[in-house]
Amino acid sequence: MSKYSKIIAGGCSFTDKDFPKFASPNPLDYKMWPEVIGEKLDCEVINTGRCGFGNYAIYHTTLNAIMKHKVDHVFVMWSDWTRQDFLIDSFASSTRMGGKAGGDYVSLHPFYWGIKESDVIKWYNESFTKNFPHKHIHGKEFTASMPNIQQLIDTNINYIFSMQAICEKLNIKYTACQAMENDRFLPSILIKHPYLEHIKNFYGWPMDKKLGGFTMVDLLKKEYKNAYKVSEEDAHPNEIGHKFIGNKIMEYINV
Amino acid sequence: MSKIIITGGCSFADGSQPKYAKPKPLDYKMWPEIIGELSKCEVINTGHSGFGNHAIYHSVLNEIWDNIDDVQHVYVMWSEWARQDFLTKNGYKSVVPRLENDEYNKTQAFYQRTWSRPFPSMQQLIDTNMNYIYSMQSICKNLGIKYTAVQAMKPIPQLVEGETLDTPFAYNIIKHPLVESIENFMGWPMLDHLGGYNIVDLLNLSMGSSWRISIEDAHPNEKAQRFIASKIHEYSTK
Repeated sequence: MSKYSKIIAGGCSFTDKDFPKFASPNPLDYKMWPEVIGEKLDCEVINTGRCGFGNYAIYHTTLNAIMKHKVDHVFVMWSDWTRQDFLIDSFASSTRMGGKAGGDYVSLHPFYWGIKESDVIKWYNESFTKNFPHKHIHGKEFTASMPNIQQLIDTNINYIFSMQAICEKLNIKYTACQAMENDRFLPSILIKHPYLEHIKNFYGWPMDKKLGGFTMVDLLKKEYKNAYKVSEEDAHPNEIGHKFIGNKIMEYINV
Repeated sequence: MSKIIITGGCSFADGSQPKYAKPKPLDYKMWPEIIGELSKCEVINTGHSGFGNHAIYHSVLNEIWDNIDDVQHVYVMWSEWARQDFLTKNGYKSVVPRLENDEYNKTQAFYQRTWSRPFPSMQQLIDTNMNYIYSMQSICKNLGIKYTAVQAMKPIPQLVEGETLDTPFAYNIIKHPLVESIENFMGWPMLDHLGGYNIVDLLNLSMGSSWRISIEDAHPNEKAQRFIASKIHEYSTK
């Protein structure tokens, strides 16, 4: 009998169990890595992964699930650190600027394929300066632009460490990894973060090859080159890719 | 080794708030600086007018990392739970959807214009804010740092037939799975319906309306800031 009864998995489209239905060019049907792990551990899986999610949305949806269920292990595959999630009150199907559906969140992907940086900057300025409902309360009014890499690194590290600390406090096993890299990401900034060395139970930490880490996409490329992709037009992991990820995470947790 | 306390909050904590007092600028110490004097500690006050709890959370946490070896105590005065903070290159821009005037309608219009979706529901606001409060508590515990929290004002008053009532919020929060896990929070669970209180409740009870800067400015004045500091300090050193 398995010593696990229930696990939670959080993440973006690399985790969302509905993802295969939306594969391009044709819908598919296969198990994602959380379900692969669930089968191996013979336990129930609460998969909060959702296409389009950034790490703000991943953090809160995973934490909401932790608070509602008694679980043995929390797995989080963190997403692109440049994504920005906005809490809204309904299911959104799409939004401007390449935003993706995400249940309680609309997510902005600033460097998504085909999106110009100048358009992102314009969107920030229109949304948070020109159309913003309040004037800045104190001090000078400023033109709002997208956050810089330092701000993104600080905010994302906060989520990653917070999840680790909460699982430790609640005595729940926790395993994290990073889905993909972002070419805007600067390892020279990450390496200076004062808490870099305190991140634990993170498979591939510190994620960047230059720092001796890796992402799931790095692992997949190394093993399969491009054969892990759903298709030429869809760079998400296919069935083989998900089995591989599930097996690698299982190896890492050594159950 | 220097001893540091880190504080977070909105205008009730912002060190520059007195300069913007109405009808005229003032100059006095806010509760974080007074607690610093009482504790003989250096104070890093991240309080900022307009901040909601997302901005408060990240601003405090960023300072914790930068001062990890010297932080003695973290104090957070959480703000209104309906505020939404948006990270931009120049810092956070925050919406403050109040019930008075047309602020709530303006916020809804902004959400529709920007995302074609409505402002978050009360349940979403409760879940998200509870996550921040519980996360800060957990992190401080994990790092071995003392932590004290308090709520500045009513979290989310509801407008029912022209009256602001806390009942819907109270009903939702009492069902939240974390409600009994919140520790080191002076006045928890914040609402008098539930046997708790916030800072404005304390001020009203102890000082009537004399805690306000003026009729047009409902921020705590110098006397009130001293009162707040003494209450928080007393609670945190018990």
